Amino acid sequence: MTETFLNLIGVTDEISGQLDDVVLLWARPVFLWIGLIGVLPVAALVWLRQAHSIGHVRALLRGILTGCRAAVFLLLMIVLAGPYVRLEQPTEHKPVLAVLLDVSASMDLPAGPFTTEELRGIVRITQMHREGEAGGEAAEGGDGQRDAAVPPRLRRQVNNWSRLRLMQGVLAAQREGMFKELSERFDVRFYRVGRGVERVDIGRISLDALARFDDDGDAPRDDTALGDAIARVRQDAVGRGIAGVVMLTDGRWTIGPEPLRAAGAGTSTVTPIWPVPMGSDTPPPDVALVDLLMPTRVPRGEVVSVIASVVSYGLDGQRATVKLEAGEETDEAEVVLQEGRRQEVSLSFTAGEPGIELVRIEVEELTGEDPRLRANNRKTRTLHVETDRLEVLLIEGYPRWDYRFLDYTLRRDRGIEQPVKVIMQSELMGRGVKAEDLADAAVEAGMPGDVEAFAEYDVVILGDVSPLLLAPNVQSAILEAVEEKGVGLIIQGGFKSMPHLYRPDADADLLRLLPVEPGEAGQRRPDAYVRTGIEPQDHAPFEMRLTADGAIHPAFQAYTDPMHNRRVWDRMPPFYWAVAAERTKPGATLLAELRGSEGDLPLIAEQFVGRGRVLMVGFDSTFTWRRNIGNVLFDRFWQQAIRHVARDPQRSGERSWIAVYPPEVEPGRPAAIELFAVDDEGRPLRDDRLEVSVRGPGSPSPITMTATGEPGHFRALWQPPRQGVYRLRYRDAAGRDLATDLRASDADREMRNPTVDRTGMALLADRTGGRLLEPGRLHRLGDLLEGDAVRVDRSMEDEIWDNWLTLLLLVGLYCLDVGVRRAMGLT
Amino acid sequence: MHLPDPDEMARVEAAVDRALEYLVRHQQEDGSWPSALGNNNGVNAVCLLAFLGRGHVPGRGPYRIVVDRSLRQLLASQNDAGLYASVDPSHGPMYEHGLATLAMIEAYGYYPEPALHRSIQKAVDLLVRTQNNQGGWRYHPRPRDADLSVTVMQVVALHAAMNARFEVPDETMAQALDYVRACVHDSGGFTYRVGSGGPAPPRSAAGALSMQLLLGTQAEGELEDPAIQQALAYIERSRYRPSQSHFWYLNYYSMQAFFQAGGELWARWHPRVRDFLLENQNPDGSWDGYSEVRYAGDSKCYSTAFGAITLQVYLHYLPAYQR
Repeated sequence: MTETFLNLIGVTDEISGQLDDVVLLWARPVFLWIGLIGVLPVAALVWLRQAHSIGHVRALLRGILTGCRAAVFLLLMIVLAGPYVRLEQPTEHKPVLAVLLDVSASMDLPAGPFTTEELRGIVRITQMHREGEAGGEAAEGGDGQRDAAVPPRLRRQVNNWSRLRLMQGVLAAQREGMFKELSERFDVRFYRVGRGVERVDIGRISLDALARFDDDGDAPRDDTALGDAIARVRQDAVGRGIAGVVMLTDGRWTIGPEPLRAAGAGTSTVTPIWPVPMGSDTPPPDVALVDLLMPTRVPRGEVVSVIASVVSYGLDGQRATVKLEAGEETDEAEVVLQEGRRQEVSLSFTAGEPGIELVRIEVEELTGEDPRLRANNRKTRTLHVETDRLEVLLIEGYPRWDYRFLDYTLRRDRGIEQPVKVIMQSELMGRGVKAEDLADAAVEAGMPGDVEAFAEYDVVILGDVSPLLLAPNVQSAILEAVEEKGVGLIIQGGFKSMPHLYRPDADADLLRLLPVEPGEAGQRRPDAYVRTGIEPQDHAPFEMRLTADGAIHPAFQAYTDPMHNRRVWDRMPPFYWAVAAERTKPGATLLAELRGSEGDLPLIAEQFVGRGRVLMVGFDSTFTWRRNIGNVLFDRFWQQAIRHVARDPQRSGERSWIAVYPPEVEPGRPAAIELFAVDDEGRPLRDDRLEVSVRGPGSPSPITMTATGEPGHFRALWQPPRQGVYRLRYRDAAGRDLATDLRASDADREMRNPTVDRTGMALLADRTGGRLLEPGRLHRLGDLLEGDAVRVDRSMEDEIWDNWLTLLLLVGLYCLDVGVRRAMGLT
Repeated sequence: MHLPDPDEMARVEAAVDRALEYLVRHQQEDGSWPSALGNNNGVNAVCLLAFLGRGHVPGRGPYRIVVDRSLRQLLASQNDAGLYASVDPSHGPMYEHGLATLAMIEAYGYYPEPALHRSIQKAVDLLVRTQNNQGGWRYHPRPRDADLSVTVMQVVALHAAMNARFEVPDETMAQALDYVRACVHDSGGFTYRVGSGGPAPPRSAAGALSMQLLLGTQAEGELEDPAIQQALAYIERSRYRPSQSHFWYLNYYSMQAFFQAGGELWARWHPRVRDFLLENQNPDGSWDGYSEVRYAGDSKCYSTAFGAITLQVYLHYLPAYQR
C-alpha cells in the first residue's frame, strides 16, 4: 500500500521496494518546526480576525475557513522544509575467482604414482568426504595428517586414481569447504574445459557428470582449450576485477590460443594464473610417435623421406623399432630411448603407383607401456603419388645460393622432366653478351619467345632476372601463358633486379603478375652490390612468420597440424634482405609475413592470374631453411610449391572447378576452398559471393565463397566441425555439378604426451603473477590470493514534496476556501 | 639416420659464433688474417669460408664489413695468369689457389658482379690449364706432376664452379676422377701420389670426398664407388687424435666425406669430431694448431677457421658441399 502510494507520488521503485531501509529526512527542518509551532497561533489569529470581519457567518463555516488557512500555512512550511526519503543500502563487490576444470581425454590418464609427501597432501585435500573409501584409515584428517603415514590401502587407492578422479576428489571435498569459504571473498565461478569451454554450477552438477557431455558428436573431450578458457573468463568478467584463475589440469594445451597470451602476460591487464597439477611428475610408461614429417605429393618412383619424432617416458635405455609400411614398401629403424627427449628417426620408401597411398608408421609396443597410451604409437598419412612429370623452366639472374640448392632439388625430383631448362643471365654476360642484347641471347639460348613456347612448360620460375633479359614482349608472353594457358609461375625476388627494376610504364605485364604491390625500394647503399629492396636496421634481422593461410598452404605443409606447421616455419633462421613489398594485391593470399623493425610486410604471397597461379617468394635466403636438417624443409617447400602452382588440366579450360587444400584436416581446423565459376557461356562470373553446399557430419551450413578480385575466382576458409568426410558441391550456371571431398580426422593430440606439464604450468604462473600449487597445498589458496569483497554503501534519495499531491492539496484547500466564501456571498 | 640433437646443434652454433668473433678480432686492415706463413691466401680463404658457411654472405648482416674486406683482398691478389697469389705463399701456391677459388665462387652467389665473374672464370681456366696429364695438380700452377692433397682442393673448387655454372670442361672432371681413382690403395684409403707411399687418414678423407664430388659430376655412371667405403672404413679404423699429422685437414675433409656418405658411417664419425671440437675450443673462441701449428702460428686463425668450417657441416649452408 505504502509502496504504491510512494510510487504514485513519483518515488522510484528501488526506494519504494525496500521500505525497511528507507528513512524520511528533511532538507531544512527549521521550517518544519516553524510550521508545527506556528500553526496553532496562526489558526487562532485567523479565527480572531474572521470573528471580527465576518462575525455574521456561522461558526462552523468560519472554522472551515480558518482550517483552510492554517492548513495552507502548514503545507507551505512542510514544502519549505523539503521532505525527502533516503535508501541506505550496503552492497558487496567481489573480485572474480575462476576455477577451470580440465575434463579433456588426457585427464583419464593415471594421476600417480605419488611420493609419500604428495600423497599426504592429496589425502588432506580430498579426505573430508572420503572416509568410506579410505576405510576410516585416514579419517582423523586435518593438518594432523601431515605427519601421519599414509595407510597402504589408501596409498594404492590414490595411486590408481585418474587425473579426473583426483580433480573430482578435490572438488567433492572442497566445494563445501575451501571454495565455499572463498566465495565469501570472491565471486567463484567454475568452468569445465575440453575442446570448448562451459560454465558449470558445481553445486548442482554431479561431479561424476563433469566429463560427460550430452552431444559427443563434436568430440568435446578430444582437446584442451586452456587459452580459450582463460579468454572466456576475462570476457565474462569485463568491468570486474579478476583475483585469479585456478586451473585444475594436467597442463596440456592442445587447441586455441596460447594460455600465456590469453592471460595477457606482458600487458598491463595480466590475469594471475594458479595452476594445480592433477598428477605426479612421473608419467605412465609410454613411447609415443608424436610427429611425422613427410611430403603430401610426390611423383611415382620418388624416394620419399619420412622423419618420425618419438618421445618416451619410463622406458629409458630400451630399444624401440620404428616401422614404416607403404604398400609393399617397408622400412624400419631402431632407436635407443632417452627419457623425455624428442628423438627423430629417418625412414624412407619409394613411392609406388599413381594415386592415393597410405603410409603407416608405428613404434613397436614395448613391455610395460601403459595400454591406454598404445594408440599414440602409430600414425597413418595419405600420400598423393602423381603420374605426369612436370616441365619446369628456370630463368635466373646469377647463381645465388638459393638457385644452387634449387638446381639440385630439381635434379633429384623424379616428378620433373630432366634436364630442367635453365637460362642464366650471368652466364650469358660472362660469354660477352652485351646488356642490350640479353633478350635475344636468352632466346638463342633456349628461352621461349612467345606464348606457345612458354605454354610448353607447366611451371616457370623467375629468379633475380633483369628487365633487359625479360623484355616487355617476353613479359607479355609469360602473362598470357599464365592467364590463358594456366602455366604456373613462381617469382623469387632478388636484390639486383626483381622486382624493383621493373617499371610500371614499361613492365606492366610483369607487375600485373606479382601478387604484391611493390613499395618504394629501400635506400640505395653506396656499396655497389646492395641495390634495393629492404634491409633491417641495426643488423636486427628479419624473421618470417606464417599467416593462417600459410599454415595450411600446400607449399608449407610439413605437418598436418597447421599450428605445428607454423611453429616449424616460424623458427626458420633470420635473414637480412627482402623485397620491398607494401601490401598484397586485392584477391591475393598472404602466406608469410616479414617481421622486422619496420613492422609486418608481405613476404610470400600467391594469387590467381586468369587460369594460372602465381607465387611470389620475397627474399633470397631460403637456403637458410637447410640449417641442421639439410634438404628436408628446403626441398619440401620448393617441390610442393612447384606442384601447387603447376598447370592443372582442370584449371586450364573454360569450365568451373572446385578444389580444397589441405585435403585432410583435423576437426575445427581450417581448410581453404577455391572455386572457379563460369557462366553458361564459359565467361568467369563476377558475383561478389557464391555458396557451396556441404554434406557431412553435423549437417553444416552452406559455405559462402568470396570473390578474390580475379574474375571467376572465389575463396573461403572453412572448418569441418566433426570427424568424417565432407563433400563440397557447387552447381555452375551450365548445370554441371562440381564436387570435392574434405576429410576431417582426429589427430589424437590429447594422448600424444602423457606427462603433467609442470614446467609449462610453472612458467604460466610465474609470468602472470600466480603460483603453481600442488594439490596438497591448495588449501593455502585463500591466504595467497589477493583481493577481498569490498562493501560499498549505496545511498539513493528522492524528494517527496515536489509532486502532484502537494499541488492537489494546495489547489483543494484554495478551492474549499473560495467555494465556502462564494456560497456565503462573501468577497 | 638419426637427426642431430637440437641441444647439440645449439652448442655447435655457439662454438662457431665464438670462433667467428675470434676471427673478427684478428682480421687485418687489408682484409687478410695473420698466420705463421704471413699473409697467405689459403688462410684468408678458409677464414672467409668460415663466415660464408655460417650464412654471413657479402653485403649483409653483422659481418658484412669483415666479409667484404676479405673478398676484396682476395680479388685484388689475383695475378694476370688467374692465380690468387699470396703475399706470403707456402711451398704450394696451388693449395691456396684452390681454397681461394672455392671461397670466391661461394661469395659470388651474393656478389654477382662482372669483375668477380671474370676473376673466377680466370681462376677456373687456370685450373683447367694446369691439370697434368694424369688428371691431377701439384704445388705450382704448372701441368707437370700431381698429388692427391693438392688435387682435392682443385676438385672441390671445380665442383663448386660447375654448381655455379662457370665453364668447366667435362673432360677436366673426368680426368680428375681418373687421377683420384689411380690413388686408391689396395688396403683401403688413398695414397699421396699415384703408386707412391701408403694411405694416411687425411689424404684418404680428401680422396673419398673428391671421388664423391667427381662421381656426381659425371654424365653417366654410378654415384657410388667401393673405394669410398673402403677409405672411410680405413679412416674409422685409424686413431682420431690431434697429434695426427694434418689434423685440421683431416677434420675438414673427413666431416665432409662422411656427411656425403651418410647413414651409419656419418652417424658414427661426426660425434667424434664434434665432441673433440666442442670440448677443446679455447675460451677466446679459437682452436689450437695442434699438428698444423706451422701454419696456424700464434694467431691460430688458420686452425680456428678450420674448426668453424668443420662444424659448419651441420648447417648445410655452403652450396659446394651439398649432397
